[in-house]
Amino acid sequence: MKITFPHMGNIWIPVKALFDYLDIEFVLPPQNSKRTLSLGTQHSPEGACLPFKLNIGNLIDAAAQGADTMLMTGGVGPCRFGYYGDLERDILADLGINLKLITLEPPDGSLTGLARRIKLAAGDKPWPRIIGAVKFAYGKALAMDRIEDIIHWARPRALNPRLAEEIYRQAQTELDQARDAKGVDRVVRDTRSRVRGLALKQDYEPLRVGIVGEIYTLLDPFSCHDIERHLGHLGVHVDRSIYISGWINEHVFQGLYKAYKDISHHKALAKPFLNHTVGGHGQETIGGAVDFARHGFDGVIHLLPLTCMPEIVAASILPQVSKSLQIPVMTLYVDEQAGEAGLLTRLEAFIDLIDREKRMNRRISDEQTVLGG
Amino acid sequence: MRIGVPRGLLFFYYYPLWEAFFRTLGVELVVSAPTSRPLFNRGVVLASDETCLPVKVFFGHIESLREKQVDYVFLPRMVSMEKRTYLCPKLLGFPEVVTSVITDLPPVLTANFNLRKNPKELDKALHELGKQLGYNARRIQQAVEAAREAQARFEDLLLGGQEFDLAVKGRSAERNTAEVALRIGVLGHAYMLYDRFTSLDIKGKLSKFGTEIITAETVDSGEIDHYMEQLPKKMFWSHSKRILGAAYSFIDDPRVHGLVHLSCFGCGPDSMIADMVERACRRRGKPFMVLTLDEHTGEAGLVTRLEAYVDMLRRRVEVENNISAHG
Ligand code: SF4
Ligand code: SF4
Repeated sequence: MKITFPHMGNIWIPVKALFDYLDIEFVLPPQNSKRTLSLGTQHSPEGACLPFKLNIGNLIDAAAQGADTMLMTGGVGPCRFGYYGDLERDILADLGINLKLITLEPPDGSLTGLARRIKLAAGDKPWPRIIGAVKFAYGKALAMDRIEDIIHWARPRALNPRLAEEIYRQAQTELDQARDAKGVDRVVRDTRSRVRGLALKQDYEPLRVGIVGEIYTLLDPFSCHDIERHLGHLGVHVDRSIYISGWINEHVFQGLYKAYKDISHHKALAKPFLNHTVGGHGQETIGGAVDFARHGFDGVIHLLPLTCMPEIVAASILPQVSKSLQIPVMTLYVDEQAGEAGLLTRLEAFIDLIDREKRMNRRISDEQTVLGG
Repeated sequence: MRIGVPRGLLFFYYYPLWEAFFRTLGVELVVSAPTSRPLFNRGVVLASDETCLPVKVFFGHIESLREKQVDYVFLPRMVSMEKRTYLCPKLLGFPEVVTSVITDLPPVLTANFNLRKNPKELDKALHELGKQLGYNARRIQQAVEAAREAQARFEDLLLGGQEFDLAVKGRSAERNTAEVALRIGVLGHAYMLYDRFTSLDIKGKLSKFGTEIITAETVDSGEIDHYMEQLPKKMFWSHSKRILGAAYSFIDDPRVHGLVHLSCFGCGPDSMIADMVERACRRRGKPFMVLTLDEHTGEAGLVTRLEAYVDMLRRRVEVENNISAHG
């Protein structure tokens, strides 16, 4: 068996670790690129969401490299994601590419069902080895999340942000190569000390922006034109509402593990604005925005693929959150046509806006302290 | 008491249920007028550009209720109306979306209908609605029973091929059973298909070309389930499930000569279902056409496309008849 898994940002690192640990051949598709997207767009339904199109591109590439099995996460609705795997397999079959599909979804929430499916992917390996592999891979996911956050810190503060990118790339490579838990920890530590060694801007207090929205676009830099990097280089400290371990925990482990920056409280935070789940992460998007506002962030950016159903619900409600918690929110739709130049202009305008608001609020509060009372 | 009901989206699936329920309680329902140009345009302006056509139209209906002096606007949150299925995510968030966009609406009357795990939740939701309006449990129970009955009758009428406009009023009429040369399976959400303005009256246009139209509502749920069981993965959107099951049944039915999928721009489920139907048709050599409507779709272009499609079907049928006559 040669197994593959579509890209979504850095998720390939833990997935590859899982299969390496089990000695199962893993086919890593080429990283997402314009080529992947046009390949995927060509063979996908026109109205499909962007992640679907990229998936198709990855799977065609992986099949060309000899993959015979695709691993997918699933779901039972109400978002389209739950039907991705099956439709993708059909599309590929019509192209003469026959991939076996293993869906890593806990069927109707049963963990034994999940275990059976993991076994399907892991073949004849004994259980202790499988559990060891899962732990090791999840450890890498957690480490990746920490590293990304270290980089979030470094980008706006480094005198030369390119050096932060270098540290990031090095960390990705090293994490991929780490062979055991100790090695994984070492990469995080090394990354931290490399960032400490960077020359930083003096007395610089960056603006803080929280990113919320559809998970794939949030986690996959290609699909959102690497918005985090752009913001960082524009001097903004970025945080996002979900990290890879959070996604894995939710989609595969049913919330059994502890994820990096756990977001289980986001649903409750969303309630005053959206009192019901709408599939995908629509409700968490609202909750995440509320959370960022409460933590004193200066602005929120909402990312979503065009035609994304849960997030379009969130997009319609976010103006209320923005008004009632007085935090600027910008909505950014991404699709295969969105251009990088346009994005940069919009980001710059948004940063100007939140910077102005911040200064104005400070002036008002200064005035109140000095002249008020 | 007067309650406003927008004539859009779920109206086309559940109006008889609501109507009988509120009528039995003694509440007057004020339904927005059928979609018209001005109402449609208002909706397009109000709704977000990126959303699907039916949601845009719905905003026009909601807004038109503002001037109708109603005590409430009825916006149920229908999460799931059938075991193991959901409605579209957009409908799940609807009450909040509507009130965020139109802030000066009369109070919203809502309740969650979630029958995903338990069909009894229907009664519970209706009771909750009745209680909010201040009725006692006995009275509500009567209304619940009337509501169920009306809905069942409506669905039966549709199943028997009754026109939507009559069925929704619970009326039956003699159907014309003359043999037709061409029969077309028309697929699509009820709120597209049966909204004459929004759908550019595609059904009417096809009838004018002398074809008979059958829709997903005429396929019984046993048959839908039969086809769904053959899918490796359960289809979890209830309305799409019906569309997909009906499509497979039409493909298998030699008396159906071709399929037309009336889909709407920006619809998530449609993007997947239309593709699945198209693939299935291609594999089986069944003619298929998808029409994706948005607010800019022009009538003239549409007529040309429909005409060409019907002509093509007609030629195919003639060829087939010739072959069987000579063979
Ligand atoms: S959340 Fe949005 S982008 Fe993701 S699968 Fe669902 S509709 Fe598509
Ligand atoms: S099913 Fe499609 S048309 Fe209906 S509300 Fe959802 S996205 Fe819109």
